[in-house]
Amino acid sequence: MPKITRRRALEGLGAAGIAGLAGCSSGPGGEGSGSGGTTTGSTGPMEITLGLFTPNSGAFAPWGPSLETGTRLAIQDLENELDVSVGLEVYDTKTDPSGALDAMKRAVTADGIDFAQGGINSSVCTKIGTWASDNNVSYIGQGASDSLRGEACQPFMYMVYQTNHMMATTIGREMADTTDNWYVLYADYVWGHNAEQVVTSAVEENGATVVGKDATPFPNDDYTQYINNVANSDADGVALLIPGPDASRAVKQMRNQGLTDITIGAQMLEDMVFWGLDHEAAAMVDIASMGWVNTIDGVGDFNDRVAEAGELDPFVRHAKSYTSADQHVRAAVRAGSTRAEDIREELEGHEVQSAAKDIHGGGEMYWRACDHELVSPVFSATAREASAMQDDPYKQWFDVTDTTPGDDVVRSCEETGCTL
Amino acid sequence: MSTSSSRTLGLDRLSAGGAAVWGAIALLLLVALAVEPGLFVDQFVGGLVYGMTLVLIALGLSIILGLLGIVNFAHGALFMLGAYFTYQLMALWGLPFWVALVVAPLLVGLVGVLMERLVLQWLYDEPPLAGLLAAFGIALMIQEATRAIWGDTPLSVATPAVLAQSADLAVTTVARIRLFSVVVAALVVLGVYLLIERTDFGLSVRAGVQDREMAGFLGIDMPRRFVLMFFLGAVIAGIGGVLQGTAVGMSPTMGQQYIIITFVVVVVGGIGSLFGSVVAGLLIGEAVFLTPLVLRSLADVTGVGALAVPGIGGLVPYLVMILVLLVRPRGLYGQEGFME
Repeated sequence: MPKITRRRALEGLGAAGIAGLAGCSSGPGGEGSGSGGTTTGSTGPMEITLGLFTPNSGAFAPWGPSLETGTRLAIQDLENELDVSVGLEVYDTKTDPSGALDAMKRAVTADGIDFAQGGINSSVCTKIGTWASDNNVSYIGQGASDSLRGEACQPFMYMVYQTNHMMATTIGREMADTTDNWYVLYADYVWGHNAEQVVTSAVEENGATVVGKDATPFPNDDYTQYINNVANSDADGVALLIPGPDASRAVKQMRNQGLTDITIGAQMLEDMVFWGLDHEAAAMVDIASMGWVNTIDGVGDFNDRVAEAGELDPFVRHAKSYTSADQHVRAAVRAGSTRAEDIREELEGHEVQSAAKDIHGGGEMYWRACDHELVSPVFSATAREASAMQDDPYKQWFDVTDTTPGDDVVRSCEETGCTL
Repeated sequence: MSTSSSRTLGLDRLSAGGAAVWGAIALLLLVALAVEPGLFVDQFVGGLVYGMTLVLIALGLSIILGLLGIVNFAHGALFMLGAYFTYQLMALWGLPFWVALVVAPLLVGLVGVLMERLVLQWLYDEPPLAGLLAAFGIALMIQEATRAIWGDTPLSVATPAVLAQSADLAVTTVARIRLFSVVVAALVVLGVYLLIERTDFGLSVRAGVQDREMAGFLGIDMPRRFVLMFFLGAVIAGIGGVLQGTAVGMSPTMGQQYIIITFVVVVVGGIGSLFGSVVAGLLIGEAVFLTPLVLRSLADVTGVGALAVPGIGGLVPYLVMILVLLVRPRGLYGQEGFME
């Protein structure tokens, strides 16, 4: 990591200033402020350059292509529907906050993007979202961490993924409805600790009991000792508050160890991480909270388009990327400007009415002004029987069992700690 | 072995303080056994299985490090390749697990030979850092090549039917695939020991390690032997990859996850000591599985809930390493003067 010196800081400021001036003078309306931000002229389509930040390397690299595919599909639809031309610049976050920040600085100061979206892990979203907001660039991220809508919220930063709290509350209620005694395995970092607190509260408030809990290292390959703890407890259900492929590893090892009768609940499950498993192991997941599932009613031809366009079968990150681009560009078109202040005016309180709403099943979705969360439904799902799992033309392994309106599980504005 | 081992460990000079530490550990284990006997047995067997998995991975690393003096940071990548070759053979070509168990390690061995011939052989006389950096670069290349060929998405193969279920050991149940891994690891350890200690080939290799120039003057073809030892180390990594990939699944980063803990095992055992790697693997395996249980039992008995530190399991290998190095800076069975 380069050492930050006074000279380096001044160089950066100088570059940012020059790029900012360039940005101000390039827009037909010439009303830009700070780096990025143009207003429309009276002739020709509105031209927008969208910066996409996606993990094409690092631990979250498997997710990377989905963000680009979802964004490109949205751009295609927007250009067909609106008088707009959207250029896409793609940057690798490397699943690393510092690397992502460097990319964001380059995107804004050198490449002149109008606004930004992407980022999966919350640490990356916090870093690039804070910098973007500080420099008057609008940014929509996909982090699920509560802090992004809490103490780390920013005036020009928005989050399109349902929060950890919303997902955990949903699965906690489902767990209590399913069986009485639960053992909780949670990833030993902030996300897992937050989820554990919320799930435990939700389970106990709804009349069930948490009989034991373990913090598990993340990432981790061997879950045997925790599975032993579960097997030696009175639990008849195990909650996996473990992100990414680790959850699928835990399920596979439970099956190998013969723990097949126990009920499995999974928090914020992304079905893509289970696609590497055999059908029988994946079928063990009984209940899960999900941000999006490709079996939602009303998803239309979105699945087919993703399958044709991308390297990955349709899953939640495609839908969230689509929604981010859809909402950002529409806000800019409504405002006739890409300036962060103008987009903020358009997004705050706005209720989604576009195709992004349809692919989420048609439930209410709106941008909450107090914390910039896209409040949207949380889906409860269950794995299909192994024999019923579809693999072609794309995988469909989970079915929706319930849909919880976002307002039912989102934290109140006062609880978030965000002071927007 | 017992006399020389106890001398190496200094057990014959066990101080009163040392005896007190061992006594305290024994007492804590007894407390855990008394509080949760069923779980204690489960975790003890689990720790043994996990320890043998670590041994299998660390053994190849220890061979290459101990005999060739190369800090093979690419060992984790070879381990990962074993898993991905298994996926290629089983999931994509439809071959049975038993074929993969033989063929995949051999393929990994060939990759290891290529590494040795094309890059590492030129670095034997260089400072260890040169070999380490070269191996690190190779590891990155292998990882990116894996991404390019098999993609980033985590993959797995179906566990063969005979190994897919759990085995009832009367006192506990263990996944058969893990028991099978223990058996394979034990056979590999035995085979390596016999090869190094009981054959003329092993004798000549050890001679070359002590003084390569003199061994060469005596007509021993050391380059060929080093290639074969590198092949052997890579094959063992490949076997570990096959078993771990089948039991758990695979991703391009699995090598990175294991290489750190494997180095911990090698360091705790004493760099260059095969026997030390075996002991250290088992020690760390048991410590990882039993420490949380001991602390939880202690919290139950004393009523001090803070003793049950959540997530302590992930720290245990490093705590063990710190403790061992404080007492024995060369590790349990490290040789004086080796890589110092």
